[in-house]
Amino acid sequence: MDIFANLVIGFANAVQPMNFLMISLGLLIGIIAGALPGITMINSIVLVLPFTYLMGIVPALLLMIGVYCGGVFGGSITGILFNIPGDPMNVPTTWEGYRLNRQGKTQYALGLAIMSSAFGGLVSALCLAFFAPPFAKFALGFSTVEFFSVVVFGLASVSVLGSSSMTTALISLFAGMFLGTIGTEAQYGVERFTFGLPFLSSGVDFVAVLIGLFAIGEVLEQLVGAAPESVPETSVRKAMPRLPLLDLWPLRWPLVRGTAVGVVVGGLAGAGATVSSFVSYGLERQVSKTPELFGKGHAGGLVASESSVNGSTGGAMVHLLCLGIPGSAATAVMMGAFLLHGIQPGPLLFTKQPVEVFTIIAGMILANIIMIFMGYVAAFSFATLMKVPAAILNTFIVVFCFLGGYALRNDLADVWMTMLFGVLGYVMRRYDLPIAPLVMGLILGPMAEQYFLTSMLANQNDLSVFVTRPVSAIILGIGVLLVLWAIMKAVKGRRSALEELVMQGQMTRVEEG
Amino acid sequence: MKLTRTAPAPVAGILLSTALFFQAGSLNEIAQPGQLGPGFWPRLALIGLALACVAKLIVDVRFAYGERDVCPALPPPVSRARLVAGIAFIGLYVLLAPFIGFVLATVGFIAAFMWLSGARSVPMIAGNVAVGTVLLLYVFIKFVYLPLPKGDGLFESFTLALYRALYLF
Amino acid sequence: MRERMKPGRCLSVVVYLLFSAVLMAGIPAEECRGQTVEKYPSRPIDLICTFGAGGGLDTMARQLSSLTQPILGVALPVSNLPGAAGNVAITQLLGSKADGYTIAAYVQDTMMTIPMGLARHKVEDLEWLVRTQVADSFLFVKGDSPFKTVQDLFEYAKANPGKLRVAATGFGTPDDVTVRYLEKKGYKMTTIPYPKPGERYAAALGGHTEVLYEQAGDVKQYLEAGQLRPLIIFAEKRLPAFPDVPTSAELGLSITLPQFRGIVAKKGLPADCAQTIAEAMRKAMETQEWKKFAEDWYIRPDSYLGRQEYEKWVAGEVAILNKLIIEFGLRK
Repeated sequence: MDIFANLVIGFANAVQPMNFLMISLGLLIGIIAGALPGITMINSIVLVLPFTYLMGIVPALLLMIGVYCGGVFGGSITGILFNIPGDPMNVPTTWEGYRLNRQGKTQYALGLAIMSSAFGGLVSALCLAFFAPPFAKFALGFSTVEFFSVVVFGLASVSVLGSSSMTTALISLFAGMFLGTIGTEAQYGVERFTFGLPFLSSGVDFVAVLIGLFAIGEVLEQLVGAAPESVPETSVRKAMPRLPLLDLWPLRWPLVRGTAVGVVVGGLAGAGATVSSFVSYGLERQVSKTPELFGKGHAGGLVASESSVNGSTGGAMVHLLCLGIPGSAATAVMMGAFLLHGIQPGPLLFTKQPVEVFTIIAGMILANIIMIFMGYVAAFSFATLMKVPAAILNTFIVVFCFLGGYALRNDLADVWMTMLFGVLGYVMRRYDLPIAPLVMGLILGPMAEQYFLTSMLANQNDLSVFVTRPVSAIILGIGVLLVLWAIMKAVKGRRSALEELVMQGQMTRVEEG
Repeated sequence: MKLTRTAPAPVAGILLSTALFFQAGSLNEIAQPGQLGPGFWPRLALIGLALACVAKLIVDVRFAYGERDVCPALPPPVSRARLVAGIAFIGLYVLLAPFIGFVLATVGFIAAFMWLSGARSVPMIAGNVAVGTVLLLYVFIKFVYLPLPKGDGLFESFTLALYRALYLF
Repeated sequence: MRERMKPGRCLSVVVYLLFSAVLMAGIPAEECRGQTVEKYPSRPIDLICTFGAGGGLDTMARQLSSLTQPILGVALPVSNLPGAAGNVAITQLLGSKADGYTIAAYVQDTMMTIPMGLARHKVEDLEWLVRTQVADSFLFVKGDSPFKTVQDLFEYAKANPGKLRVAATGFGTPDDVTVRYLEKKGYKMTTIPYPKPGERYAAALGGHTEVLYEQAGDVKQYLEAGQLRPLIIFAEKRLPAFPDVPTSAELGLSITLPQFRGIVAKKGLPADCAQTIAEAMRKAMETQEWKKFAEDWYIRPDSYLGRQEYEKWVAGEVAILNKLIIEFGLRK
């Protein structure tokens, strides 16, 4: 009952006009900054940081919570509209959302993204309110062994299965994993495959690769006039998102699954949002009745990944508030700001400063509700850009990619990387090579490597830890089951296709005879 | 029968990954006994890559000599000149930015790329160049503090003067 | 299409005029600048943080930036350029002009790459402006760990060589060198690298490693909650905040590799520029805000070192590490 009393106080704090304004303002800044490539979520939190110094503790907290919740969602708007994922975690959303957009279902895709984001965020904020301390204790029990299993699960379930050509998908996946090893290795500090070029010593940054492969590749494809689908006439009215409460009902299971994966995985691994969005997308693809539609505008995939991205915010906050462990650079900056305002995230926070904690939680709950409206307004404004002639739009997309690449580390090397991968993205589209596995390998490969090597060092190179530790064994077990199931389905599908072929062959033979 | 067209890519992949595999061997010199070392994971990835390429080759060979001749449809024809020009403009943009500064490079690029994409109206291009560049500068220098390349020598003084005139500093 | 062009054209002409006006306005400013000798600093100074946002160095850089700004009269925007243990940023610094408008925050981890032979710079390439922070390193164990004193820990390590696991930032780091040093003394433990601080702390808190090598300021919250306990401090004398924690010197271990942070520029910038920045930062470090900040992070009160002393001190650290690294066979 303590929790309810605290929540009430938290809400009372959060709904005061000034504080309410701060949440809304934060959300607006977060969404816009998240949507603009070149302004990452870290940028936007650092941006509002000096202003929070001037405020009282409650409005300062709420402003940052707003920026955080908005920033996590914002990337999906430009992902859906322009194929530019703002962050790696928005990648699966982009895969499905952009295709839906190109099919003229812009409003449907945007609306789904908003609603599933808000739903995921809301559920995870509630989980944070009620289960944070026990969950934190639970989360600490997981080591790199379990993290490795989760990442492998994500890699296996998304990248290979269900794709049209298994071999090209595998080539793409391993090439991505290899690209991920270029640069300075984190544990030993040695440079790998840099060939003495300072250019490569910072490695292949996956955000640069993402915006290159997706956005620049798309621009080049449109430039040469080989876009596979003609753009349907999308007037602003049509691009205007509606709030598809009814649309969401048929997708309730992907929504629930995505949110659940987001809450659980987001609370486990450091880079929770990215891993959970891939894992939930992969899971969705495995259990879906129509896996062949993935990558071609599958609403379920969009809903699952988007709800898990925001579903992981609660988990990230559990880590930040209960353990004082920031999972990402953005939450690290937030933690710095908490410290400046006299809030010491860590094990004592829930007992020592319950009012502040529950104000933060109430702020998150409110932020996710307000986000429905804010996201709607923002998505509508960005959607008007669809009306801009392609000549202007594409030009500015390239400029934004320049800025986006540069803003990663203020380094032109990343811009070169962006543009080079843009050309690669064009080539891969043109020759129908799957891009998704490459991206997966690049993002999840380095994580898998770190977790694997650390697990081996901590367990005397004993491979059996992955199956003797129960949680890891369960995760891997589910993974293997899903993979086997998918293979069975594929074999069955192929057999029926074969039978059809044979039937046709007999038919023609009969006709010939 | 399309083997001559499809085979070179996987063969190149096999050769490249083999070469890199041996190159990765030197990485493990730094590892202490009992450690997998920094060369382990890249080698794993390269083995996977080589095997996948072999598999692709086998599939292609079976396809080429198989009974069913279902070769993948050729990609639709494209304007190669525009592709080359587009890549060249983007390349020049990044190449020139450190020398002439972000502002001038962007101005040039927007004009050139818009023209390439089919915009022919001079006022429209000029307007977009001006509004776009100024807006970008305000957002990214004033608010995000991005230290964009200022250029060299004369160009640097130009960039600085422009920033001062726009009250960016 | 035609209808939409019209307002667009009007707007674009207006903006074009505005733009040219703005350009013209820039010219007198430029002329003024040419006539008088430019006063340094007359525009923002880029402060490159060699590690990512949110870390200890980033916090330091941002704090220093906001405290130095009123003294110098220009902004010092902090930009993060992580990669290769800070070498990416230092390479960029060395590629920029030595005009005092690009400076960088420098940390021990980057210095460590010099003796390891992984660096792209030498001590002499940099102008060492000011040392801002020195923080001593500790070995921590979990609050409910059976090891009550450092003697318990060392005895166990002696009886079970290599069984204890130490969470560290990576191989070939000061953390690792310290573990190797203890190994030479007969206390063999295993270094487990966790490059991300969060993963390092989680590993120690969750009991996935028995020991954590860290500076006290970074794990303050766990110390206060009793989740981590300090066993030994690698320093000459005890810290006032930890009167009961024995030092390495007391135990006859001669290894102190304190974490340090500071500000560097490219060698060759005009002496008066260097003096201006160094002086402004010294003043910033005398403010109450800085002192409070330093106290919160358990920073040594005698952290400040001026230009010449700083360079000499760093060169000394590099020499010590060089010797240890060769002795332990960490560099091949």
